[in-house]
Amino acid sequence: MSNNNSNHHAGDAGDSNALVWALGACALAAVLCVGIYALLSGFVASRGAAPGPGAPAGDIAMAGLTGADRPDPVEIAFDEASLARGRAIYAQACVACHGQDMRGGVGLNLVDGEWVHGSSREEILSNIKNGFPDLGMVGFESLYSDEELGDVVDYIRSRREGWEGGRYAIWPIAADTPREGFSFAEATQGEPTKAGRFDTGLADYAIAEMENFAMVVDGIVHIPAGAPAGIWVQAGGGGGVEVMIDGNKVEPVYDLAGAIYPIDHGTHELTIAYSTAEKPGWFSGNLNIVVLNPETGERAFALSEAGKSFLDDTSFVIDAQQRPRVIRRVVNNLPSSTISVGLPSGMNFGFNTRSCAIVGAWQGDFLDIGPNIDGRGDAPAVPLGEWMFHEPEAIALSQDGQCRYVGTSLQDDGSPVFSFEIDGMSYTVTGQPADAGMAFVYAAAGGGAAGPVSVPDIDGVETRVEESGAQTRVLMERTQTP
Amino acid sequence: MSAMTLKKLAGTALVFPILCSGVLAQDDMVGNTAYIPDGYRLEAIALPADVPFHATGLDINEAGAVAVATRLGDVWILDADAAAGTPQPGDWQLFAEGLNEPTGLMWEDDGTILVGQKSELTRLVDKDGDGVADDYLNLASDWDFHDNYHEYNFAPVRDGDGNLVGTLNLGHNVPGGYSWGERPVMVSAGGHRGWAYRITPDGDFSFFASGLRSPAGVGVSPDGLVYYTDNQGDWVPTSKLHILEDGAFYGHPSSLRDHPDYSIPILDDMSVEDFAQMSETPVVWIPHQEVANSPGNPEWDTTGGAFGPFEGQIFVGDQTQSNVFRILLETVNGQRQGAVINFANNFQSGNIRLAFHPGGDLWVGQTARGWGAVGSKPFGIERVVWDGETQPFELLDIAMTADGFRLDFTGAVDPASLSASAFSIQQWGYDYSDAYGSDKIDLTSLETRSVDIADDGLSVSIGIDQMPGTVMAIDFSALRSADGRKPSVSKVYYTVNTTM
Repeated sequence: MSNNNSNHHAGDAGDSNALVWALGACALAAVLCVGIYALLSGFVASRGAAPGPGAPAGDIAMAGLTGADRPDPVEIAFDEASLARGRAIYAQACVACHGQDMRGGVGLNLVDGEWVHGSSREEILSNIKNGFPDLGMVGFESLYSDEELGDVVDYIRSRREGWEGGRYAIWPIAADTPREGFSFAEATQGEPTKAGRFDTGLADYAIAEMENFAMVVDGIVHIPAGAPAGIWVQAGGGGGVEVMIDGNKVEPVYDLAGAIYPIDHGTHELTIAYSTAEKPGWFSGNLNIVVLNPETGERAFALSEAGKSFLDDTSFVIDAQQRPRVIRRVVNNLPSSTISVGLPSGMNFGFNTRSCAIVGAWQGDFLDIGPNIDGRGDAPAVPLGEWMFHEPEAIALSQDGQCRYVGTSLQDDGSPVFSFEIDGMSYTVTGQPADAGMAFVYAAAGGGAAGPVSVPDIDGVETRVEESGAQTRVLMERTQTP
Repeated sequence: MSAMTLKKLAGTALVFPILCSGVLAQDDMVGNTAYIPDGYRLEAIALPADVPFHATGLDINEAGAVAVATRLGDVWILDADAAAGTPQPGDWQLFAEGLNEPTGLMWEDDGTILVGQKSELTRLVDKDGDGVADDYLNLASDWDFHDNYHEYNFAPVRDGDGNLVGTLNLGHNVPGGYSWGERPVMVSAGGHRGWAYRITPDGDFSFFASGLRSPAGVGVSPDGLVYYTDNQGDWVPTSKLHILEDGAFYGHPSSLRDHPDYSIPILDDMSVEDFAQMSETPVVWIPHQEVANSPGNPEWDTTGGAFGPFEGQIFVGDQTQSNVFRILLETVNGQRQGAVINFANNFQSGNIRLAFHPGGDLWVGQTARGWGAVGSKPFGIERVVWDGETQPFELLDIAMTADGFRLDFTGAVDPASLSASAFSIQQWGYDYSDAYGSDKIDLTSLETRSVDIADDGLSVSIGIDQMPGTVMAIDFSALRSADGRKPSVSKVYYTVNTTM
């Protein structure tokens, strides 16, 4: 298994290439603009509605993007003085649970457009006044006046960020489609292979499920006030990226990270067209799209799944400090079909159900499965702490014969006993803490002996094997710190 | 919509001409209005706080207790009392954890729970009765799992002979993966990816059918046959429902690398036509976008009428469209075929698992991680509830006749709404190939020759020419009930495999 536990590698390896490719795409901007204009005109015509002024009768069927309903953009007239008052109260009363950036903590995320308890100004105001005592949020009715809480609601609503009513449509293109002369108008003729909505979610380019495609996403985008903003698209070049904001094609500015399309704060209509034509070999076709401050480079929020993975490190740590944890996941440096075990002592190991061997051991924190449960889960979980050894090193009984894994039994304390058979003989193995390391105890059932084991030879680790009756005990101790 | 409105929309917002249309605001992405039969509603189920609850395994036992397997690897149980009422977050009990992205779950009569992990079919046993599984037993792991995200194990179900059955997804971007042709999408790196497997009551394991792509839903009919759905893509022109049978091939060649009669060089020399000849014919085709993109398990309504008038029919959820549709089967010339028709949409997330509660509600397990869904929530559980009183006005069933079809309705049809022109009928085929999905081939409109209504008004017969190998879409949106209602769904898609 590879060591790739990050979503960042393609980008890390390719930043300079991205610039080259993005610049190449820029040279095509004039051609693409015409294509996009025709494409969007076709959008009107394909619904059967009368083309608007200046819109030529479109011959491009954007059927996949049509019909997906979208709410009216939420236009809110904000009063600066009111926002300042709201900001002050928010900083006092709300920040502890909902966070400085309003992206949540104990409390819910307030800027993602998802309103679990109602989205209107009245509903939000009512919820702040009455609170959710069962969920740990007190009511603020007795603490602030309606007017003050109204300022808070307006301030929160002014911070709204990201997509609203987002849609996508995907068309396949030939693998050998040249970059030169690439036309979105041509590529997007006919029914899209896939189309749908992501609403307040994120554009997901992995959804194309093919190597060569053109994809158009559109929707309303909310950009909060307070700092200059630009939409950074790390596209790896290819047939190019075309961005339209409020119906106008926008020229990017470039820095080492790629193309940045400036955008004002407020509510905008945003369309991003992308094609993989002649994309560089390292590029997955999965676009990082992130809103950032082009002056400082500070990143604000993501508009695509890959962008989100880039911003977050998608961490989801399984903590074994309180009780043993037993997890079956794809894990870095451990072979397929391995069960990972974390014990409160800080000893962690992997038992493989195919070889019935201990195929890795590490000390410290247990496992971050975040990468393996993010998006489609195509990246492995990451063992935390320090490896003592891992595959191809292994501890295994020396018996010849095919092993068959029988199952795992959890003891009262939650620690696992793994059972397996070799040549009709039944064995168990457990992992146990030891003074300066860890121990693995093999036991044979039915009066037999577990017998000899093969053990890895590891620098800085002393390994002792003790055979006694039915049991064989393998003790591993560090003789020097790693 | 007024001309003024149109002009304003087109002029000011070229990109979004349809967004502000009141008429279209309720449309789904193919222009269907929001639909659900009269008397039915959706209810979101409260879930444990702060748990990613992507519900990809769902079963309800005879007592009415609900068990759910999540993509995180948990198994949660909701006891029968809580499931019969309004569940609260604290009602869910964690039964097992740490499983490898299970996509199927089944209660056994003895109270143990079977779970389809990616790398293993596992029996979970609570030995000491404390409500938490102690033993995780390996029932089967005879296939290879290459650590690929797409290599799901959709299992298990138990067929009429007592066999456990599961289906194995092909992989995507797997090192060493094989796919026929120049445009690979779904591949097999070996180890019986794309096969169905069976474990007999005696414990004998075998791989018994091949050619599966993304066989995301397995179900057993009341007469004990195993059905499965496959998702549209390469070699699957549109999503489909099959009966899983011994030795059969279902169309995706990647799986054949593990077939004893084939090898990669042999496969490379074969043609699309060769594979087409070998392939089973689906029981029904499920038109892409209009009905489903990523269907889940077929679930039979055996609630004895507690869910309304659709007893005995198949319900299937769709992960992409966030809808539920019905499948109406019959046997013609000894062959199963039938129709699909939408049932309800606007669910909160992607519908992948359905299970009927004995009380009559239809529970829906949902996920939208990695594969987007029309419903914007990342995961969840909803249930479809019938109020027990309101008689909906919908198409109940459709049957082929010697010269057309008979359409049965749940209420009397107003004869005044009937005429030959009240029916709009289209017919098309699909192109089987390694391309990702198929257009409608030879799409034609057909004339209705005759229309007759039964004396009780509950059935309408139409005369129409039928051609085997096609899907016929019958749009009856002009029909009204005797009490003036319009069906919430007025298009049915019949797969004509054979004619009378």
